[in-house]
Amino acid sequence: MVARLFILALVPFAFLVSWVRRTYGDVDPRRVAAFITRHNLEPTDSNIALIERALARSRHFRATCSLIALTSTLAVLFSRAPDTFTIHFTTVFVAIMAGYLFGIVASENHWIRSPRASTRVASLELRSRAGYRNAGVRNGFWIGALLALLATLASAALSSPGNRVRVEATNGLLILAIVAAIAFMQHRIATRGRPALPAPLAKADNALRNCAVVGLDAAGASMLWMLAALSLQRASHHSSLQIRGLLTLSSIITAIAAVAFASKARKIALPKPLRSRSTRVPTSVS
Amino acid sequence: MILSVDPGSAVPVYEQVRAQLATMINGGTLAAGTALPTIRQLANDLGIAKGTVSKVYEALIRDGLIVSDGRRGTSVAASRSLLSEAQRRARLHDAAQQYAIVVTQLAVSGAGAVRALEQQLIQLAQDAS
Repeated sequence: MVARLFILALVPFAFLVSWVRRTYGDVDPRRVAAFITRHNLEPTDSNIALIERALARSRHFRATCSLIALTSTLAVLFSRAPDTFTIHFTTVFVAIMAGYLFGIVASENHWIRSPRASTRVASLELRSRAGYRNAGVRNGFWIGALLALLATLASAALSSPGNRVRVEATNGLLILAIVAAIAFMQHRIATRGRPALPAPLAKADNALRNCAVVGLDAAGASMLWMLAALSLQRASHHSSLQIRGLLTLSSIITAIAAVAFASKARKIALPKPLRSRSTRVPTSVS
Repeated sequence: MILSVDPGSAVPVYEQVRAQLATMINGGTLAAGTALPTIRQLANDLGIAKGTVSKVYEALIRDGLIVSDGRRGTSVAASRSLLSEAQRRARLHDAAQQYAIVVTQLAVSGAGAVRALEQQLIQLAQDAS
């Protein structure tokens, strides 16, 4: 009995140790190699050091902020209604993604520094938010925003007036706030200060900005698609039997899309190590 | 294309940025239609106030060297109105005056100042070719 309890306690402990080690330890050099290969960068010493530092910092902030967001959301929900407290997948998902978004912003803010050198040099190359976005993920983001707003309107139209309408209005404002905040942060990431750098280092810096901007799009899209799924689910509760099934099915599909975008956001932030056995960790060329 | 600024110089930062951009545009280093960085980007990169970059862009628009097109941003003007002889002389006089101030502050001889100027002219000619 004691041995069984010991094993039961050991499994989550081992999982926690592994998670902490993976999250706060050094970045696997094969992931750095995968990043360099994916973005077609030169494996110079300065590039490898920059990418290692950036990937580690981004992973720390994203994981820590997600954890804080999840625990604080659950704590608030529990303190408000301890008797009826239940954990829903969607609540957990939205809390983690909100923390994840905040993590991207926090890790990027860390890089924003004003130049202090006596002579400051800057390149005249234009860096814009649009230039760092990925068309597919961007479209997913906008479709998610539109779908979330339409689902919110549908839920508001089907629900009885009063409290429910107030919930939908809050939901609509939340969607607009997410869209505005992401646009603002992407613009900030694109224009964050950078002195004139050697071409390979500038290319690596551009790749990191690209990851942050696309990561924001993907994480934002996952939140918007999940909010759309929640609105569709609420709408199905108030709808007639004829369309209830259709709304439930739409809700499930949008929730799956939300999870897919979340997975995409994670893959962009930390590329999987290259599978090929012949792949070597890049060696310095300078 | 690199822009450099020395905040400790006697020449105001505004004039340093404006003069370099004007030189690049007039010398053909920045071709017509080339998109310029946004005010925020250039200010962040150089660590100077956004108002300073905004003032530089306004001055270059007034001189007909760049154009601003709302959402498309700022770019080098396609057809630049050439400066008149009087304007050119006035601009040269201003620049020479500022250079003379720096030379005096640094207690450099006249010959040294002319030599430094000649070196810069040669360097610019090499960069443009």
